[in-house]
Amino acid sequence: MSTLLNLIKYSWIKFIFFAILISLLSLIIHISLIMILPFSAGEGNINRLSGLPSHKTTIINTSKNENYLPLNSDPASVLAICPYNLASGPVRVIAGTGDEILTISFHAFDGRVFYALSDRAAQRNVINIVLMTRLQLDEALGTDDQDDIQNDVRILSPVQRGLVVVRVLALQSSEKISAEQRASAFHCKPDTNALEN
Amino acid sequence: MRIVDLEFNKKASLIDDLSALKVFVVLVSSCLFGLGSAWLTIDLHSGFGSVEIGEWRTHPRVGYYNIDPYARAAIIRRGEMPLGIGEGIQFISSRDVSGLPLNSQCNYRVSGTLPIARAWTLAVQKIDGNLFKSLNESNYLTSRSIVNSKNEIVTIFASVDVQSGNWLSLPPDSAFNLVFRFYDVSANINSSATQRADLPRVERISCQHY
Repeated sequence: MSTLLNLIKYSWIKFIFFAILISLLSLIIHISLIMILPFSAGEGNINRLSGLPSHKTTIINTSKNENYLPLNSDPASVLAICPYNLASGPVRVIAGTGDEILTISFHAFDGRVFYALSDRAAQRNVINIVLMTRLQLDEALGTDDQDDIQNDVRILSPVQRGLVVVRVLALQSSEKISAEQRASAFHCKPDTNALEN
Repeated sequence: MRIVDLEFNKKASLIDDLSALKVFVVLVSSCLFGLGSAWLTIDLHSGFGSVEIGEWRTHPRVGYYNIDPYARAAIIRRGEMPLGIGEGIQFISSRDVSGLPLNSQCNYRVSGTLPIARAWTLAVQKIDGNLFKSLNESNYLTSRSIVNSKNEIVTIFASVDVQSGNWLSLPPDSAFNLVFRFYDVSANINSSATQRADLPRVERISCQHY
């Protein structure tokens, strides 16, 4: 009888040992997958947008480049996407504003939005932003003339490569064409002069 | 006798019992639980910090850089490009006020007060987040295309058949989601006080086959 009890007791210990082992390994796999997923390529991943040419604007809406249209996109908006790479220097982002509502957001390829603003931030109907890495920002600050008034809005990019996304709202059907023109006029280009102001 | 010997052999450790089969079972079980739980969490859960207001849900922190890892994995897997916090906020509804899933076999009324925003759009989308291509431009309404709205109070009818007033076209025989997007919203909605935002109710008026 006592042998049987000992056997049952030992089986329970074995069961608990394996349950803990499986739980720990499952937890490691679970956390690893959640952390790795944003960096892995996939069909539904915005990483596929990295295939778009750098520093060139691509218009995306229901009639143009529809295969790049992100999920949960607003059918009333026209998207203009410009992948950027700060390896060769800061990138200047310029967007003209008009009657249509325009917003700009800056995305890392892991899905995070690190800055966003609307056309209310425009000066003289133009949004003029310089994207920089930490090193480039430090260099620019080092060469700044204290007496000069800085007109550039500098944004620190936490990633070297990312996406600038412009959304132009066409709140009425008649605004579709002008919204697309507004989105097409946006550009992001490397600008090494931004370090020498 | 051999079993008894084994059980009482104090030198026998649990590790010794890990035969190749046991190792295989442990690894396969761990993979199944780990991958399965991650998949379920990403697919069914919109991330920590999601907020529900009536039948509408949103994730206010999705537009921040310090988004939680689950929400980040979810938007990446779904291929979304969320609105940044300086752009606006999005609310999705997949159910009516009584908790029943939205289906185009029924007619709906979306009515109530809207949060203060510079502009808004209300769109009909597939459950997976894609647009209904067959609906062309009648699958959304905007703050500028709406009629008879006073003091941010709107009444919108969503149905397959054409309706007078503010009509949102639904696809025939299909489940769908309604998506409100508010651009340049006031501070009270785009913050931790999102729960206090007013949003219209989605009421089922009638159904064809239910």
